[in-house]
Amino acid sequence: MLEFTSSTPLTMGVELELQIVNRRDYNLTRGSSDLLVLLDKQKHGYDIKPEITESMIEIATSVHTKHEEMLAELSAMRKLLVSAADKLNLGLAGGGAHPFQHWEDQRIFPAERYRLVSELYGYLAKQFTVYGQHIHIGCANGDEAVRLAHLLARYIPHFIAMSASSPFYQGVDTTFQSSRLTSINAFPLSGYMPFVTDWDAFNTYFEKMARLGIVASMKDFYWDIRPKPEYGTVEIRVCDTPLTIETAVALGAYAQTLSKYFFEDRSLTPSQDTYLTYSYNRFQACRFGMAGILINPANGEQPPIRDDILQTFDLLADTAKELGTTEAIIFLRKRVLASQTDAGWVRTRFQESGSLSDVVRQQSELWMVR
Amino acid sequence: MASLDFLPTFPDALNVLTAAGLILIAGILGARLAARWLPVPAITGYVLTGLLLGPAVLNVVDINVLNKLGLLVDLALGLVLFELGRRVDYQWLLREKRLLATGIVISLCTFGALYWTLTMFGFSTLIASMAAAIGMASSPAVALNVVREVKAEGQLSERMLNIVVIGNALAFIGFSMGLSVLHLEYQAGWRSYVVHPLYLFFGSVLLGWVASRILIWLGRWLGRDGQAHLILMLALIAATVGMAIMFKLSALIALLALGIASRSHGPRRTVIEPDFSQFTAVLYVLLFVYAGAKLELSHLRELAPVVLAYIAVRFGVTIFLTSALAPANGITVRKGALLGLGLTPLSGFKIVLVHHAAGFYPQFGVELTTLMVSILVLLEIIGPICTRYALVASGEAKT
Repeated sequence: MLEFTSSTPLTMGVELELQIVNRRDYNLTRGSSDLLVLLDKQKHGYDIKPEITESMIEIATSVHTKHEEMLAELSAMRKLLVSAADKLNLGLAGGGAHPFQHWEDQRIFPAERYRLVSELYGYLAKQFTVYGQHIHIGCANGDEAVRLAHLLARYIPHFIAMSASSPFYQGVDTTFQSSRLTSINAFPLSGYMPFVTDWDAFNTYFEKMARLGIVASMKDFYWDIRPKPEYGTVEIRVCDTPLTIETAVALGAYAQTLSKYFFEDRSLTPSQDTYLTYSYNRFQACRFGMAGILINPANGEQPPIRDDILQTFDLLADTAKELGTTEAIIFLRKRVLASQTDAGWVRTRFQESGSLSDVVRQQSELWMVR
Repeated sequence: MASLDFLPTFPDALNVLTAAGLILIAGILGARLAARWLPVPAITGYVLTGLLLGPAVLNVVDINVLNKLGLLVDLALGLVLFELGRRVDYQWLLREKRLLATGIVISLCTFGALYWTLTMFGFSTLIASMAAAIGMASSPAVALNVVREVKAEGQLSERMLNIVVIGNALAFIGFSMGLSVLHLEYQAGWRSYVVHPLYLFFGSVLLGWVASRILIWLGRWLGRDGQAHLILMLALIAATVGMAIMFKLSALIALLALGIASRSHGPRRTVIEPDFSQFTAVLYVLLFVYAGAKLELSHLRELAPVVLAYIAVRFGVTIFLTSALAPANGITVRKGALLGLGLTPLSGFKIVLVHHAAGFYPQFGVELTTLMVSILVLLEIIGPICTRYALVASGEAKT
């Protein structure tokens, strides 16, 4: 029986997985354990953790209600990380995938859990060297979390399109805006939460899966959106790590605003039909970004994702004002209107220099604010 | 028998190409055999093979053949120093002053301790200071090759390579200063003892810098043609080694300078990192087998006490300092100690310098050479094993 820890609705936090690169050819490098040794010497109090491979590091904010405060915390964390990385001559970068690393070169971080994951999933574990942003939204109870997860499902393409930053993978242009999500599809427990309608039903499902020996904890589900009962949150996991922390925070604020809208409008009920178009819409967002289409299962309309995002921003205007997220929504709106995406930025840098090493160099300078 | 004149008379020695072929084949077989029994890096296998084939044991490859191979070995060494230079980020060294200081402190303390040890054994001030200067230089060829062989990545590997560069540069400066004292002692003119070391150092750096400008200019003009870049680099490396020999400069310093300066840092540093590995692998096998063949066992027994003391002092001082300075370098003390262990290999090719000096003043040269060669016998065999162990034990090697 999973106990859902109650948390204050609309509190939020984000986790960012970052790339650790060398400053010679800007390939991924074995750096997280060295970086953590150095960081752990200072009593910084931030949540900075290793991830499955040695070329990843994960940072998580504390719980926030205001996105400005979250940005301030992330800026302070960035400053700390940048000074440590400078000392070790490492680069840190955003982006959902490293453009030219070879997955077989990656090294599993020496920890028991990762060793087990690597043993179970074989090469998938090393291919999982991709970098995502996770957004947590606080919920009062498990029933609210299940409802919120289903209602957010329709908007997943928005988060994919606005964060997409992994056009290159293993040295080639994948033609996708986000190639990262494709490597998650390979895992047997990826996809979306089954259509259960309350926390009891969710628990029944979880216990069946646990009894069958498929899962041991919520960590084993690699779903796009999942309830996180320990934290008392719903976690959105589809975003590529954006190239800057500003975009990451704005996406968090967008999720917070959407959630407020759903919490307040009780007339909205989850519909199972959302999942008829879910995978197709998700693919459209990964492949074409803003230019992809988003099929509405209720009325069959197929607007471009870009238009759907702008309409949603309009819909949320009052909610944003009440919540104090207007500024963040404006930041995102400007980017959408200018067709400014991180994936586009990466492609443009490649056209200019012709060198993926140089693209990563600029990517790390952007994240580290040089 | 005149009708059989076309048959060759049996040669009394191998010619160069045959010797090169033999050395390469024996080298790879030897390394494979050694690795089968012990967890040793390929380099140790090459060195042991060389020792066995060379004048010290079987004399299959004699001293004449070795001398003829000198040219290829010079080229191989040039490549090592070039690659090491490319790997060193001088901007990091300028920013991370504690690493720079660590490198300098290790070198100076090693120098001081070795100098003291050698004078205790009754060596003259000059011999002691020159042998101590050589002791500052950890082997670039071993460090670079072992890091590659085990695919090591991390702070130990990076810091070790940087300290190797610092140590070699200081050893070179120390040795040049010793050379000027030598000129003084043998009452050469002032030009010798003032100008010669300056000429050696600044001339070599200038040569390397000029070559690096040519590399960057031509490289830019060639665009992104990787193959052309590779050929251009090899050509410049060969030519720089050649010119250093022609102008009696130090090829090692020139190539190190070329490597460091060609790692360009302009706004459009579209770094092409050419993959030399296929080509250089051949030269490196040759280099290490050659190094093994050059070793001499004859003086080892009589010099054993001083040789062991030299190695022990150098080893102790280095490991003590890298451990003590580990916190300043942001690494754990254990990793610091392993870093010191990784620096054990001694740069065998500082011997080239010794021979150079011996060319001017033979009787002085013999004493120094005998000492250094005997130290090298042990360190060329043990050194690579230490470096490999350090990289594996620290978790930086890819296992």
